[in-house]
Amino acid sequence: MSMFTNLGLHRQKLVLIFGLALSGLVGFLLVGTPKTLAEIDWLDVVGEGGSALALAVWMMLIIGSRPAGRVTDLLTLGLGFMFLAMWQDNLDEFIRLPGEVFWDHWLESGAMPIGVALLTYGLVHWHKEQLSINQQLRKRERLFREHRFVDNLTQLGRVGYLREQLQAVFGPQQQLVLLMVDIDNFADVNRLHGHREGDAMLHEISELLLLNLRQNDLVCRYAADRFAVLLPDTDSDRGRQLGEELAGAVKHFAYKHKTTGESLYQTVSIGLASWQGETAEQLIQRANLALQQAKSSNGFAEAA
Amino acid sequence: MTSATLWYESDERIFAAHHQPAMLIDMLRSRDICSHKILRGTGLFYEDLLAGQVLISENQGLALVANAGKLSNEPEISFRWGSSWWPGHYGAPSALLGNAGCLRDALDALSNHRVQLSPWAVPHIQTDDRYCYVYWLTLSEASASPFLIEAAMSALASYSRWMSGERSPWRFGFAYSRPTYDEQYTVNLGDQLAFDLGVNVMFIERQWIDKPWSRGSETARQAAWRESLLLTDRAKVSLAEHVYQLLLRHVQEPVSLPDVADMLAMSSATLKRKLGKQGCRFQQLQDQARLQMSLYLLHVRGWNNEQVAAHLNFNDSTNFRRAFKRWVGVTPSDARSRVSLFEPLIG
Repeated sequence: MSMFTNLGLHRQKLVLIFGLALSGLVGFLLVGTPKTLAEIDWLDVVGEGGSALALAVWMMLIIGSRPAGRVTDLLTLGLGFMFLAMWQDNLDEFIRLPGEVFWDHWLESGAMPIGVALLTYGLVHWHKEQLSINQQLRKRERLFREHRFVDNLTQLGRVGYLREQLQAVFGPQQQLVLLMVDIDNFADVNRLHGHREGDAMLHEISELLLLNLRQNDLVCRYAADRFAVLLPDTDSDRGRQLGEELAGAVKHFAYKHKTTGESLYQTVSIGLASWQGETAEQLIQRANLALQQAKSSNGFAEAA
Repeated sequence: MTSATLWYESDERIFAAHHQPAMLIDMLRSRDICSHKILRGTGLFYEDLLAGQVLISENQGLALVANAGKLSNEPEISFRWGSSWWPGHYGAPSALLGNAGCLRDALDALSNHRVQLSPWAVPHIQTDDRYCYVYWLTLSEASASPFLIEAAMSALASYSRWMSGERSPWRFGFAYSRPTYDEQYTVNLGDQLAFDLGVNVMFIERQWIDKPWSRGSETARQAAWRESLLLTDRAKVSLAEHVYQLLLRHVQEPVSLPDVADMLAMSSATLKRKLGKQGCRFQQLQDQARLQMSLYLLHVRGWNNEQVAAHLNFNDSTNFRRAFKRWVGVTPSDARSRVSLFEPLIG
């Protein structure tokens, strides 16, 4: 659906590309003579036609998936010109032009290098853009991205992502702390204010947790209102301190009700577990057990 | 006992679409799933649901739930949906739930007003000297969907937590295998879980059912109770549910399809056809009833195979073992040693 809403933003580029393709076709029809069936080389038709089609599809996918901007313009135009070259190449499989026509050659051989140049330039800028996005996303997703691991509501990683990241950072000298952070009585927010309000609050609290962590820490949404925080290169004292900072941040956060503007305050309970060479699943389980103790004591507990 | 008005059929339009179905659709829409996909194949239109007057049938509701299960891109949706069921805004039955003084009051309201309070997940409530059990019956394939079971279990768990002001120590057993997203179970339900049990059941120690709830109000409950007596669909059940209850009551006798048809004053062919319309078979209901009873006798009462086989009228314990293995996938003794949800009987 968003693919079609995006099309409007790129009207000029699309008119240019498809206008040129159409003019090429009209030009061929005006001055050329159709080939007989026996003259057509079907292998070329499939090869060149297929490539033209693929390039057009790539162009539409870029338009459909990227925000409008310079990088998107470059990528679209680059793929568009490459499409044009293949298209023109394909037309002369069906229609023979008289020898004196020069523009066909110009379109066919000129469009390809222009397209390749634009695409390359665009990709270089995409690369730079991605590096700066990666920097911003670091605490949400360390090192790699896999969309099936991303929670739609908070844009944080899910449990699967946490498990994988735990496996990745486990190492012989690694000191590592896992925090389980659970919002107290969050079910009441859903009951009293509705699930949309609950969703919005979860989203904002996840942002708050991100803001209060270091560059190499990782926050994941474990389930419901429980977050898992992975603290690499951290001992349990430092982990406890970071956990208290998180608890303090949430406690002082005045969430604003989306329709009434009322301030809603929340508290969290935190369970802490230091890695002792066990598996990811065992570590998660110990942190969850510590969280259960935290719930029944003063809001913080450390696994034995 | 078996007048025809006591039970409804699966294509009778008797459930309000603007309650639980509308909530489910709203939840999915807030996660970018469009309503026409959710309603595909149900014969319902979103505009009609918004109007707030539409009644839908059991089959339509279950089709909607099945769609939701397939479409939901996050495993939490079923739990969130269930947590929003009760007390709800369904008139006197909701008032009964909202003012219940203890779990016993709530469960009474639930079984008397199942049609309004839990149209698709069918509870069967039972109490003995040790525990109070709420079975969520799998009468057809559609009603066995984990999505629906997750919703129903979190509905009761979340509601009783809300009413009592503390997390009640429910334990949960599931007919199906442990799903990959079991963290949702731990966070939403707790860590007293068993999978591959054979039935879907949640239970709690008996002393909890009469423990007073902080939110209850006896005066308001009495008023709601008087009002609820006037409801015409009080204690109404589906045909399959009715048959299931009959089979459970006569679980020690070899009851056949014609016997049950006789009890319901209809021909065997009619009973078969009506059950088929609801997506279930007589044999499957009978197996389910015998399985529920044998699991109870094995796990809670601690009986051995011979005793259970004799009680359920099997020829011998070998036959029982074979049947049990067909239902659950493991032998009775394996099942008993694997499940640690039930405390061993003392003495």
